[in-house]
Amino acid sequence: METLLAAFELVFRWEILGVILAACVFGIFAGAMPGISATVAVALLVPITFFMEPVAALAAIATAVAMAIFAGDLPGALLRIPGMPASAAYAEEAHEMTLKGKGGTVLMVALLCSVLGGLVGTAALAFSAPLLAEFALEFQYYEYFWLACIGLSTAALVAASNPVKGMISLSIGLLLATVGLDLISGQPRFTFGTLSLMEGIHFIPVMIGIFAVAEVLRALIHPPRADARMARVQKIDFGEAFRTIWRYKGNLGRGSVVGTLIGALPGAGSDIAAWVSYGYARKRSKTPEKFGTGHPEGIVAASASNNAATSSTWVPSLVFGIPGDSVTAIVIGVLFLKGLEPGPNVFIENAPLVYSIFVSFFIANLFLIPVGYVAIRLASQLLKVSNEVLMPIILIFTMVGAFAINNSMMGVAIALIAGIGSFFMQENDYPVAPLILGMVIGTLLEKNFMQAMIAQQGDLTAFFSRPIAATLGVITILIWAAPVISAIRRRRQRRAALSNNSTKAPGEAVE
Amino acid sequence: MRFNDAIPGALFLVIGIFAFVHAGGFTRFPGVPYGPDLFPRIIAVMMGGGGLMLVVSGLRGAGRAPWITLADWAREPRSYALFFSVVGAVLFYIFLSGALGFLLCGALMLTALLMITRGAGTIISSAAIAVVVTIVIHLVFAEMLRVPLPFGVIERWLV
Repeated sequence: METLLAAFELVFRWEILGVILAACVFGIFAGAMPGISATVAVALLVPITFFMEPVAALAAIATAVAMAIFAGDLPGALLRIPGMPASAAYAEEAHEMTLKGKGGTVLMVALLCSVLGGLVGTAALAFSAPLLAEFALEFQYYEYFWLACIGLSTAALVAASNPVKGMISLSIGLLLATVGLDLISGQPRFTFGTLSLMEGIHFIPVMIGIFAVAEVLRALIHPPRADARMARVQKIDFGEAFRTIWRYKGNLGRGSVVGTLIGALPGAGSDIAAWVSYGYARKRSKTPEKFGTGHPEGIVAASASNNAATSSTWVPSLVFGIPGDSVTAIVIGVLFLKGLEPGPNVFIENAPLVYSIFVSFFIANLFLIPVGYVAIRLASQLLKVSNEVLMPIILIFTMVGAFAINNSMMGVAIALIAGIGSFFMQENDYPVAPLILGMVIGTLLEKNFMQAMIAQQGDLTAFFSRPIAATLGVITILIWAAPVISAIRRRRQRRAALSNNSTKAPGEAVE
Repeated sequence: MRFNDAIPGALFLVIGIFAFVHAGGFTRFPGVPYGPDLFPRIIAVMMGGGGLMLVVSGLRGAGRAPWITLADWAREPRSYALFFSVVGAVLFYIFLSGALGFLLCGALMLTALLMITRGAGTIISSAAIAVVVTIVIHLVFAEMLRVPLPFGVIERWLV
């Protein structure tokens, strides 16, 4: 209770509330632009948060993400282009409602459900994280080593559509993390005699390049095909909005719970939560045939779900230091920069700070109501901002941001190279999230392994000698085995299909 | 622009082999059971192995993908113009901002880029947007956040 009061004191200051309000406006704007995802929004925000105190920095990131996830619904409903992957699940449905003249009302429903879902996710985060942290205090190098392995493996193998490409993306990130002086031996690695590589490659310019510079290239080259002039101001019927939410309160509850649970898993975030909740709402619905024709039931569930996931995805990051998605990977990088090592100890040493994150999430969700309402009213103007003006401005902003981290042009050059690389990776279906996760967790993974091995004099069985470590180790190995097993099974099925065809073929010839 | 998986696969295979061999030169530290070469080598095997799998899957089968598939955007000359102007703008900034200073270099770069994305006829509005944006970024980063942005022609005149 004392910590909670201390956290309130930390957050309820004019500077912090001002930062939260500014992050709200920025998040809404970024989310509404189809070229800018929540990750890009955070990538643009990090260079500024770099100069803030930890509470303000984390509050700004948390707020911007929560806003952006809702704002993705605006172009989804009005233009049928989701502003975010998290809005894609119900963009069509929402657009159908807009065609019926209910665009304003459906956005109001989405806004209120986002707020309620976000509050459920925040409550889950605030209650479960400290409890889990207490449990995680028992963890040593071995458990952390396996947790880092699980986090990286799910991102690379499970969440990616092609596990081989996911693994390569991860290995690029891990390899970049090894550049510089080795933590244990002090040996330079992959520096090729250059002094500037001795301190390693900073993850912020890489992240800015991978997300923001690549997005500038993508948005200019593949402009989203929609006519923003089509977006008209839509009337908001508050009575109908409230009645809709009340009618589908069961969906709201289920969506929030499903979103919270999915968000807490490593490698799954708000976009998967929205798809699962939308699908589940349709399955449980009494009128599944109405889905897709402008029916709000699925929208209630899915828009609550993606905002719930936004909060709960911080659980594994704060408690174990293992990020669940690229946004929380960036958050972990920011925590390290502020001299805070995420993990259970941060709950003891810096409890007010951790609680202040929960409080900021809470405030951000409440701020979402007025800011979101204004955004719905201004949506048609907001969507008229064209990529042709916006993207060059974002580009110069990313260059200054990449420079500001070390005050060196090296950062700008790294961002450019990372941006071009990421553009071609995405063109060829390589996921980029594993790369950034690998870069952030790679050092941690190696450090835990080496320290454990120094303590155990090189005995590898130590990684299986403690019950929790052994369980986590088995889970890791199962995740590694899964793509191999499914590849073998696919090959067998193909062979069986081929032999069926070849036995059939002579019979057909006789006929 | 999609490449046949074998092309990036071969690239990753080469990088993997290079990293594996290069890591062999890292000196061990006495008393540490595993040297600083262990992790880079595991990662090199992951990358090289993945690259090899892509080479095999890219080359095999009758339905082999062409070496390069051009997506719709890649058939239009304008896409290349946009791509290279973005890259060129960043290079212009990297090499000339030291001499010109942030305000002049940023405004020139942004004016040129906006004229390319919006059309050459928009020179006046593009220059106006560029000047306003550069000044705002200067105020936020150089004045508020105290980032030592490149100091040059206009800055010297202002001080």
